[in-house]
Amino acid sequence: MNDHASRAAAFNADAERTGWHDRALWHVRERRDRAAAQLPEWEALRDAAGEIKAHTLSQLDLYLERFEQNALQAGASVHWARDADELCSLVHALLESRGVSKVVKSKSMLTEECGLNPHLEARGIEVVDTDLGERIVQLRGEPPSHIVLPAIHIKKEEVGELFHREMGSPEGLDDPTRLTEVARGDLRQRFLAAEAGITGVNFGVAETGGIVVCSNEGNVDLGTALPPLHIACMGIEKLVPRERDLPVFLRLLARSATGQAITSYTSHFHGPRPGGELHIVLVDNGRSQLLSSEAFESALRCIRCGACLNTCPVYRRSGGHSYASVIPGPIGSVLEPARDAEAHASLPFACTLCGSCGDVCPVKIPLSQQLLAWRGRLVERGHLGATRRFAQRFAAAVLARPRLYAALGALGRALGRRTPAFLLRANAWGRSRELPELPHRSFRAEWARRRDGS
Amino acid sequence: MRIALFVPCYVDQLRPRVGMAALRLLEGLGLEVEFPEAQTCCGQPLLNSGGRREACRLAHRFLDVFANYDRIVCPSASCVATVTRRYRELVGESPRLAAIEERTRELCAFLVEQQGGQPLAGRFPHRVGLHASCHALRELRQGAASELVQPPPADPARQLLASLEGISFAELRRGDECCGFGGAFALEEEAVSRRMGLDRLADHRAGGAEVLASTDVSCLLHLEGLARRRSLPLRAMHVAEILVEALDSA
Amino acid sequence: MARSRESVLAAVRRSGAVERPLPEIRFAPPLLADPVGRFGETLSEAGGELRQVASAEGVGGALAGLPALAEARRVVSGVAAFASRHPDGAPVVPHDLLNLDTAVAAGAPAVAENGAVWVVPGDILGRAALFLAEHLVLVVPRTSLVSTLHEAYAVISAHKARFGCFIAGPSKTADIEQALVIGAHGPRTLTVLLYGEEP
Ligand code: SF4
Repeated sequence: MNDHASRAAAFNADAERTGWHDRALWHVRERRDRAAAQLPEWEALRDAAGEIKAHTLSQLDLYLERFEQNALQAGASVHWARDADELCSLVHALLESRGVSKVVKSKSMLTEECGLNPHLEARGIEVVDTDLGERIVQLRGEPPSHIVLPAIHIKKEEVGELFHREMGSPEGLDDPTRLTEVARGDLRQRFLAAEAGITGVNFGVAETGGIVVCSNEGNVDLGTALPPLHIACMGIEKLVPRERDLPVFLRLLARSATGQAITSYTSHFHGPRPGGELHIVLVDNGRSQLLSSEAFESALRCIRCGACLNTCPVYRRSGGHSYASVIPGPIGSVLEPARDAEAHASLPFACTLCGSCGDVCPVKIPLSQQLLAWRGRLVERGHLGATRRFAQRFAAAVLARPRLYAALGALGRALGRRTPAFLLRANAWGRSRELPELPHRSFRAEWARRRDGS
Repeated sequence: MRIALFVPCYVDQLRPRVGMAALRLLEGLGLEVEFPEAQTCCGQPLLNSGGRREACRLAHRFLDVFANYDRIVCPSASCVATVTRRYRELVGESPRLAAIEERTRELCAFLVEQQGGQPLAGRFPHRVGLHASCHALRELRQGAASELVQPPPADPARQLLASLEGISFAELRRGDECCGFGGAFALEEEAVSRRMGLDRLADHRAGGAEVLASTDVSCLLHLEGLARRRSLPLRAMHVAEILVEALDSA
Repeated sequence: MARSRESVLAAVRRSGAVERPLPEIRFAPPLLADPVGRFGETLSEAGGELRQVASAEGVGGALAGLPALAEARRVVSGVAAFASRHPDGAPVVPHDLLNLDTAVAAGAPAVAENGAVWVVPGDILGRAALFLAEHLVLVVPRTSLVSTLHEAYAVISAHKARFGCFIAGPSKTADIEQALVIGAHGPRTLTVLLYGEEP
């Protein structure tokens, strides 16, 4: 069955690994807590970040035009892509016309979303993901399982086997430092051979036409300083109005993502390097549609810090791949049904509505409210099947009639007390839980007895 | 002051003694309490599983049933959150709803409000693991949510318990992680729900808890079900049940 | 392509959002008792190391004594106080910097809250050197130190440079089991030399 629950159950079949995954991410969440607590103005920063994004989104057409104009002025080329196909063909055309056959790419969830790698590879262009985690999942032939920590689901021994196979490192190597060293050596060569670098964009500044990209490894900068052609793929929601808005977001981003005060590199590009080219591709791919939805529009504020994934008790115990979507976790469960409701209908239900995501989110997206809103829509549109609708109508009918409700409740409790153990264990509640001890009288029955003085 | 006791459907049917305990505590303060018998369910289970239209009908019903009370007190943070935080989107804002929002209280919050922080004359010589209900924490803002960097709001449940003689609290490594109940989630996502619950139990047991306490019966039924299947020596009690037991043994 | 532009903009306009206010950014800088000490801490948390020298005249000597430079054969330097070293001939393109031992660059301001230094390389060689070198040394005037990123942005005018970068510590990754490894693709060490008297 194509749903989160069955994939999550498969993940949980390995209890030891589930615990390992949960602890690794909780550790990141704790680092985030410590980093956030260092700033007494943390909540005010979140307010400001949310408001700046809300404002920008409410005036997005103006800011897009302003950004374009200023980026052109700075010497960049600006392109527009309505959807994933347009982005892919646009980038391919740019590369082909310059005879590029080798590309290095740094992390970009947008190009994941648009399927850029397979598109280019199918046309004979070698694309090397250079972020270490991205490289690991690329070599394994799987998608990232986290938007900031792409290989968080993989153990070091598995990386060792992979590198042994793919890069000829010694068998049995599982020391992260030495494994990183192996990848560094391998990727150096690829940086030097590359004819173009593709990056994502963390922030675009409307008033200057500049773009900002954050990274820790230095791959963004090697990938744009060595090859002469830089293609930056940017969702239209990445804009902020002014340069002085940047620190608000930069102070929140790394602290929320990994608990660092700032990433190792925060690179600002204004136009191409001397003798080179900078092409900025502004991508819509469903964003403008989301913008017109009152309930979900604020999801476009997302700065992809990953904090809502790290804090999500369900994500931590089901793994990114259980979401079968480009972006997993709470924000993915809001964004993905907007792209394809049928395919991702189970995601908004993969959530206990605990609300931690909304409290951790640096731009204050009310994630759990949006997940709840999706549930209503998906059920109304019939994506959850007729049984659920029937059950809901039946329950509502009973609950609107106190006497019927009381009678059925009593019947249910009586039956429940007589349920044989084997039947209980076959049921989703009873598989791992005992039924509560069922009382003979409900509260209302007790109340009635008291009222009648018996 | 006309006070209505709102007893959520699953408390009514599955754990009536929590309703009785709430009643005793309120009457113990000399308050006169009514139980409007037309009440059934606030609609939360339907709302959370996507049945908006049905939930909406129950919400309107709730507004009718509880229209004429000065306070509506409920021994479930989750149901209070549904009424005071979720109804707005469901039935639209109105003076009628605003009045209900303003008058509805989670039991512990109401008790603290009424007795103005006086310690309770009760004894409960046990180590208690206080399970923070997500909706108490992040909807009603009762207690400190670990995500936020701000002076924590008061936690009435802890305040009430802390005033009992002989009580101690289990220290938790993850003080406010969800137990994994989540309504239909407990059934539909059984594997993750189970794991979340077991992880909470392990944390409470590592902290030496003998009693698992919460402001929400739903969390407790899930955790207790898991604990009993594994014969773990943990009693799951609603805060109201603890307070009554403590008063009785004082 | 013009069609795409128009249709994206039209789609955005169709959303018909009501304008929301743009907040003014006002975050008062914290009063740090010891800003240099704080910078040293945050820099070291980021994996870098702080060195200090009392005067601008002392910079050359201090640099020459740094481990990252004392033994270095190939050095690209962007500061006058230290000469580049090119034993195999001067580099022409970034690719010539493959075996670069150390890069030296000037930077300012330094940011106490996060250990970052704003660096604007002079040319593409200087820029590539920042990331290709095994070791990086940043020379920063003490007077440039600010407490938060807000104040840093108030002075840098980022858009005046084609490329500018906040650098905080050496290159690093934690992509294998969250184990922190220093020296991912870029420099394995970062030394910040803060010069000048206490103001
Ligand atoms: S939704 Fe918020 S917390 Fe989640 S990735 Fe986006 S910005 Fe971060």
